[in-house]
Amino acid sequence: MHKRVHYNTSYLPYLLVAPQIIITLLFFIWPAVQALYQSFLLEDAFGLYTEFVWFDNFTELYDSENYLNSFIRTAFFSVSVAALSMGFALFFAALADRVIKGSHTYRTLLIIPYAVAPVLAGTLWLFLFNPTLGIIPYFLDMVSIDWNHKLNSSQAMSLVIIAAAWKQVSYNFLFFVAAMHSIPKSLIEAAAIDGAGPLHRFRTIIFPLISPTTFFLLVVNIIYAFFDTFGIIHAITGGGPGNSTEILVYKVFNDGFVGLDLGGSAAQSVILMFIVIVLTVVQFKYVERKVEY
Amino acid sequence: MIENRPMTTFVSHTVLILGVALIVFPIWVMVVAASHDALRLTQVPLPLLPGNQFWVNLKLLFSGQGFSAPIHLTLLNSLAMALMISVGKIVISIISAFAIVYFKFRFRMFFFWMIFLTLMLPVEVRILPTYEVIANFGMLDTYAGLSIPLIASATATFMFRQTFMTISDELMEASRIDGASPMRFFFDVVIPMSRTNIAALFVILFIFGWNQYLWPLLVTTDPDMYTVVMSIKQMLESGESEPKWHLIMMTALVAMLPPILVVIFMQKIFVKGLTDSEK
Amino acid sequence: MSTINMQQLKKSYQDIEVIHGINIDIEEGEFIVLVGPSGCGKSTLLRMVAGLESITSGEVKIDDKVVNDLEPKDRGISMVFQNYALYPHMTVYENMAYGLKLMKMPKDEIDNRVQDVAKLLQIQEYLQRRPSKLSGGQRQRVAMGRAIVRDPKVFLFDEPLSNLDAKLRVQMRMQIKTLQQKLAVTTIYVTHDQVEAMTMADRLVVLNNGIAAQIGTPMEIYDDPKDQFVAGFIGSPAMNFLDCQVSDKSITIGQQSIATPAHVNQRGKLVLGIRPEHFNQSASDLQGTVQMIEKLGSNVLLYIKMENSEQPVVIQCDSQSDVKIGDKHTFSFNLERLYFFDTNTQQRIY
Repeated sequence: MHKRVHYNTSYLPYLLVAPQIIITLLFFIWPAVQALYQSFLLEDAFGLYTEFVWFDNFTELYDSENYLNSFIRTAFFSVSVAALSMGFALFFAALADRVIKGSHTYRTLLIIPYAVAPVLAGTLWLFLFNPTLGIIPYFLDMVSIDWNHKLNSSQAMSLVIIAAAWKQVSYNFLFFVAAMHSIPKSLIEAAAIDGAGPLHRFRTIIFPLISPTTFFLLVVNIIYAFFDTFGIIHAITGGGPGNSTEILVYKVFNDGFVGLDLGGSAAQSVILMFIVIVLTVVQFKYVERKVEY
Repeated sequence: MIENRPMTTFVSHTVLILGVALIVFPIWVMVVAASHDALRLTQVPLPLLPGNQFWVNLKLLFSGQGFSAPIHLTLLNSLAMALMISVGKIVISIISAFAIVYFKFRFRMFFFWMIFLTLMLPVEVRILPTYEVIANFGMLDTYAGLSIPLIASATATFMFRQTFMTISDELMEASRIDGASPMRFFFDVVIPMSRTNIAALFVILFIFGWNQYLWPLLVTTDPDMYTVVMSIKQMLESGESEPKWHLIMMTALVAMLPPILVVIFMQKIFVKGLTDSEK
Repeated sequence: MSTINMQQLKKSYQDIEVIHGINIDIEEGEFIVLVGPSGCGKSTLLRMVAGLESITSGEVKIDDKVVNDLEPKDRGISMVFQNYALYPHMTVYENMAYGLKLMKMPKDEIDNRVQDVAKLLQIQEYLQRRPSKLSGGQRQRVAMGRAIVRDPKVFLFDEPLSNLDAKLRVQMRMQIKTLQQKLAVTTIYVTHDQVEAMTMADRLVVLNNGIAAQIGTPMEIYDDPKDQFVAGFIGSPAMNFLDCQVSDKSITIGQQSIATPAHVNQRGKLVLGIRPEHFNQSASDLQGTVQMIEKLGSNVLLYIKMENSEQPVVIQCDSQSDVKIGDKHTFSFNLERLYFFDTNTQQRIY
């Protein structure tokens, strides 16, 4: 956990951790506790009337079809984003692994989505799929597919999934490439000598050996889809049509800041916190074994 | 390269080119759209090749045509926020990591776990109450309010901790014998030896800070404090008529250019830092 | 040049005592070697003198001044580490100048000192290079340069040659010893290599599990070991230990016996010690089968198995010998060089 060697100054370490601890207390711990507390209250928007209602907010959510749907929707959304994004990234990484020339250029281009803000990514895809002007609906129309994600909820969901997956491809790609590079060349050469073709080698050697990375990315992608995609939803659909693209984090924002249901929104925050904690614990316990405590 | 099958290489390259083209397509479309005038962008099909209005549109944008906040202001706000977040986070994390690794003090483990907790609480999960705290401190519509809640999370601290653990113990002892106080050691030895990590983290955090959306959205009401990334949404909601796509796309281009440039020019350091820090 | 005194030095980690009361008095300019197997506490002891480990009880005095509570930099010591501990981002010059800069020495004085020491160690041409561009031996010299440049009262070496290849180690051994004699600085040198210890030390401290088993000059320790541990640790190849029964008439080892020499008065079940180089090849009191032969070029080691004896007896003889594995071989002890140890306490009784 720590080094063998230490300094023994009494006050200096406290001074050094103070900024982080203070900010953590003020802007992490305290708000988290507040959220927890508020989730047990029923308040009006002006804070004039507060009532302690124990778990009512939570049971209300549990009973609310709206919330349950949002839950399922978010799960569906994140799994789709993860699968689509990781699938493409893996494909690109496997190919990039085979070619030597130009791999730097490919990588440079593939990194770009990482630098694009989610809301900007949403804007780009919105533009591409704009029902009246977008270039994609134009071509879809030629094969008689009518595109209007403002009306069609599955199209809306597909669009946000595509936009979210597009943005994550870079991150996944970089990690897959690094993972493949860390496989000893001798293993692959031995398999080739044994007669395994590239596809077979990929299936039986490369893919199993990068599984820690795959698992790690799965967790990261799910966390990403849960939390970092707010901008995409806000830019493209605003949660609509109806609620069809209202994922959990969007709902917290909507119910809290727009609908002013403070207790309900706080309860949702608490549930989200719980989900993140579980996901992060999974990530650390099973994946990042290198971090010792 | 194992088998020398030129066919496979050719196919691989072809598929890769197609794939990369697919990924870069939205960016391309954006650049094209930013180079045409408003009229052309109301005619279907939209162009796939650039026009000649690029500089005209750019000038239009910077002359502040019809937006709530002039673009040079929003760019400035974005820059300030991104720098405060990246520099701020690096500074407080590196000194925390130094304290935790090199000092034995009471509550050390307690602080360690507290910092670890923050890994699990992205801002999206505590938006309402954090907003309240900022509001109560009167920090709405300030650079501080934009940045400070985002700088305490633990990833940087853990990354530095990992780096420090690889610095040999004997180095610290040699410096003690040479007469260096802990802070001397920190500035003269630890920081120079962490240079690449600091650079990589800076890239990652700068992009993270620049691209913030939800938090600035909540914390700013004064249009003069809007960030460039936020301002896109306003432009999309122009109400009655079809949005001015040529200007929106130009804004989007300008908004995403700094992070893209940073990533491309610091590519090597960035990739290494990203994949190293998470492993 | 300073004296060092360690009085009843003890060290515990939590409740476990690892150094059990060490007493050593070191003269000015002496080259003292702390030697012992891994885990015996030699590095810990060194670090306690340096100020890098706290002292649980007892005193360390440098020049008759108690230094227990002083920071390393205030003790007037310099240390050379096993892994050199050179600042990787600084040039050789900067590495050597670092401590002096912290002492707020004027720039020209720093330059003079660094240049002088660089000349002494023949590393002038490397002054502007980074450590990563140097070989192991060069790095070691830079580490020494950094130590010398501080003009300390005491040099401390913590296994500095362990990371070098054998040939380099021999070269550096000589260099360090010559340098120390020239500079006449009191030195404590830690090593697990007993050849290093024997060749470099003015006096040796043999450490075993946190106690000083014996302190003395190399030859004293070689000729006059206090117990079985010291006898077996110093001297290569190691001393042979044979269980035996001593009576008035004979010393019996297994099934074989030799006459008890007149000057041996100890009796009973004892451990006999005899070094491989102290055998008499011409006589033939004892015999055994040759189990293995190690040809070292300058001499040959024979591993002889005597009946009823587990351990082979190791005999050193000339390379001219044409003994083969499986041969029956006869030999005798050099009776002047016998040692006897108590079976239980392992103390030397003769």
